[in-house]
Amino acid sequence: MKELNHDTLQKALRQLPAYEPPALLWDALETQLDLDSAMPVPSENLPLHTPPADIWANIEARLEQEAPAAPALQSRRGGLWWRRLSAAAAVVLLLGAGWWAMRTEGFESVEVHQEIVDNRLLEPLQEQEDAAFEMVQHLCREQQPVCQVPEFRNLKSELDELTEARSSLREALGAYGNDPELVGQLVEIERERSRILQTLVTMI
Amino acid sequence: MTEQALIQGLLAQDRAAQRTLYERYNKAMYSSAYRITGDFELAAEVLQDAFLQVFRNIGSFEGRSTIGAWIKAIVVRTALRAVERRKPAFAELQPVHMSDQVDWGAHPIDAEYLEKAILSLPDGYRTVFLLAEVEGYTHREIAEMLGVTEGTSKSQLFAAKKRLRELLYVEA
Repeated sequence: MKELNHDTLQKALRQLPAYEPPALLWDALETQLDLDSAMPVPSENLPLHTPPADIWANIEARLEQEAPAAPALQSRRGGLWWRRLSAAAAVVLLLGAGWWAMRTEGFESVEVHQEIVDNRLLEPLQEQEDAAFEMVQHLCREQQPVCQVPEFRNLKSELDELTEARSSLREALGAYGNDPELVGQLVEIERERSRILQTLVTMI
Repeated sequence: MTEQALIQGLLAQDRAAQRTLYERYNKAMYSSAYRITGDFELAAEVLQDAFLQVFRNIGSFEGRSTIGAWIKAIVVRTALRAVERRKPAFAELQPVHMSDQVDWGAHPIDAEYLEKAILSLPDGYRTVFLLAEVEGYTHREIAEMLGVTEGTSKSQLFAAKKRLRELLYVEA
């Protein structure tokens, strides 16, 4: 394999034309960046689950059970060796217990607890959602191409319906107080609305 | 604005710094993306996607290269992924013989013809040619980017040059 007069090629390559991207590209980038700062990434939005409280108690009990007092005259090296062995045994036991628990039918009955978050902590999240909602409305008012995509349009109309339903429910809640059934419905609507909003943002 | 000040602004997610960076590099990066994808529309998508990655991941820029080289690597990888989605690369690999030779001649090559010829190369050839000859990556870097061996990168480059030379004769 031989190449002659490589310089001729290099000279021509240096003269290749440069192109300018479409002027609207920065606007699209800026919109996306605005949404980035308005909406947290979906994974950060996922609820936090607390494992059953007795898991730590079980671990602690197991550790106490497996850690007898070290003999007074044991050498430093001997103590370390014993500790390492017992730690390894504890890990093996815990993994074994976990594996056994997953194999049993009882695994399905594990309870999942969700933290109730103080509403004041949710305010910034609400503001972010409102900003994203405004962004979607703005893009459609401006008749941006993304709003012509059928999937986007369907989701947008679902979003509008849910927003309307939310307003009606909020009014009803104002009139009838904290009716548990209405509150449940409102939570459901909020959740669905957030999901649709996130999908729309991803499509933008 | 110095590169250091620019990076500080980017780390603070400062919109003016982001705009400055975009203005400074958009032409070069768009041209690279266009040559790799051979499609202006796809190149615009690549550019947008790549700059978003740059702004979102600026914290991972370690300063081991210039910021331009770092952006270029992101643009190139994004463009390669876009091309790969469109059509698998290296479908048209052809054997190269040790006795083969490419001679670019002593006469200047018209840049416009050259670009047309580059764009008409099959995806696999065009990609390796651009990465090696235009972007200046080593065969080791190309092999890593494309998930091939250095040997494949070298033989693809030579085959690309052979085809390009033939195309230039036709164009001329």
